[in-house]
Amino acid sequence: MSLLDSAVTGAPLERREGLLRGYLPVVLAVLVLGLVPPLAGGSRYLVSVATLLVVLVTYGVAFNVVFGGTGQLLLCIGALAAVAAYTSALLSGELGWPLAITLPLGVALATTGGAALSWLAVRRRLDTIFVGVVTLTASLVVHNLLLGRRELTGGETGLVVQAGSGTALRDPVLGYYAVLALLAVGLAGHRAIQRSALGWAFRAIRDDAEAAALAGIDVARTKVLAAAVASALAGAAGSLYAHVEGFVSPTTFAFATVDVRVIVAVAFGGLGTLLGPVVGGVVVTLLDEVLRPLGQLRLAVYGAVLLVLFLAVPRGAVPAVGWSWHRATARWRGRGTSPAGGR
Amino acid sequence: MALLTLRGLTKRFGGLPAVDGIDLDVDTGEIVALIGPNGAGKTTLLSLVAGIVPPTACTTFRFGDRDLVGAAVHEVRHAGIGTVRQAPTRFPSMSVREEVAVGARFGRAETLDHRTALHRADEVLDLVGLREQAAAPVTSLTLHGTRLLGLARALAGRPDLLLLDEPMAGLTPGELEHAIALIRALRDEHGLTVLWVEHVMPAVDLLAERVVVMDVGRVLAEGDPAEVRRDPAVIAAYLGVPDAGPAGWAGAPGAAPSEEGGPRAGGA
Repeated sequence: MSLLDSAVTGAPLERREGLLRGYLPVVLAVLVLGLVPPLAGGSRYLVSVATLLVVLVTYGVAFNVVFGGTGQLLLCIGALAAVAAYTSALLSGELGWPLAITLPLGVALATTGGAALSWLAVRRRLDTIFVGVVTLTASLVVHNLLLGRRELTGGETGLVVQAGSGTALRDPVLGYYAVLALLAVGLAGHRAIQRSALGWAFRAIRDDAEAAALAGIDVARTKVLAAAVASALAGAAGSLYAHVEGFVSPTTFAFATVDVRVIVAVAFGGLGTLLGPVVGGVVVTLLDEVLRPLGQLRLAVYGAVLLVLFLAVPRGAVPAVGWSWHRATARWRGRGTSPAGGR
Repeated sequence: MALLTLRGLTKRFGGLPAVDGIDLDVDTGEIVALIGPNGAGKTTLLSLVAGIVPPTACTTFRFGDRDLVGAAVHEVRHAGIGTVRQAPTRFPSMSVREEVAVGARFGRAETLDHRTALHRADEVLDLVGLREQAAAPVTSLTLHGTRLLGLARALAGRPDLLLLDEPMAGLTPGELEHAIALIRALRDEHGLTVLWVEHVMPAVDLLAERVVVMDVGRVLAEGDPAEVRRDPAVIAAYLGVPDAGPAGWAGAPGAAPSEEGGPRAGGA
């Protein structure tokens, strides 16, 4: 029960499980996702869908850290992934630099970009909606640069990623495990943050930034740090995906492709919860497959789903299920109490 | 010696001075009450000292041996100044114990570890009398309870100076007595210095050793409570007006919301 509480609804600050219990949800989630290739029975299609799912979940973890953690509505996860992916693909493809250099370079560029946007927002004291507007604008700038610098990026046709061909990344199953390994790092990192003083600072800032500052928390530094961590993870996921797929286009990282899905997934899974992005990502991927015949109209369905989610279960469907489950089992055990701390 | 030294502290909101060249010294171990009619600039002054509002001008802001001109909110906190606002902001997702532990963990430049912070929180909750509500959600507290929570969060960070903004407003007589005894004990037994904005005059009479009267952003008079009461300028500006209660600070953006907008819990 407390496993479900801590993994899904976010544990009370004061309770901190031992190492084993604390990281068990991460291990379980990664193990379950690791079973996909053997269960797919050699289906390239299923493995490719699963790869996209794991990348989406990784983006979700990044968004969850920065928005769920510190309340910064960073609407440029796709753009940050694009910056890292195109940097690595172009430097390796055009100049022949090794991936070992261009991958970290791309991630560093995305990290700097995300941190700079956050720093700007903190300096200008932008509220949540304005951070959203600024970062969405940055997204559109990146998107249009990719479309416009045709001679470099191939425009909307996209770019065949030369680098990485012939490496293990191009093997569908090994590529899948590579993105899964990154997700494991992301989830474990999120858990480590939740267990540390930084996690306390996140909770306090998300609750009330002014009160957090009065309590002695360096709000500006913490917010920029959260944005940097999220940008690094999003960048790493984007560029890894580019080299696994062997192809990138502006659509791969477009707002409608990445950010909308990420928001729906995290909102469904439960903002700020460790496993929210995993559960939400699975649901969004299934939704995607079901809605495929609708084409672009899928976005309208996403909008409707998002509306219903925010109105009906503002803290996410999964925490809601967690609470109902807790209440039901508590009654069943003859104890009608709600979990301490109300979370 | 002076613990807090302010010189030429000024804040203008769109040309209108809310705090107009204030000079103020607070000695170690003093309990100083800051009084004045609504709009005098008292809350703005506290916000300036806490770093919440940046000053338009300030020549000196010394605290102990630290120079705090232009310091951010958390830097002021780390220097040893704990602030409790009139409508105390809370961490609504936390329990009472957790919120106070946040204050303990981050209150000084050196961050405390998990266990020590929770231990410190329990000590402070004992001190302010909130120990029984330690596990309760912060949103379940009454108005007095919420003020005590704000005080506990500030105390948990081991401050040398407490800034309190109208801690007595809206309390029942029993709660008022508790609040007065608590602040006195903090000074007498824990060596804290208190700079405190108040409208409840009986509390000022009982507790304050020195009263600073502000009007339209300036210091109108200062001295012991009895002395200030006799000052004709003070009578004209403030005491002639019956206790107006803790109304909002009109025209001061960023100032604490009025009592009606503050947290209110239906205490039984």
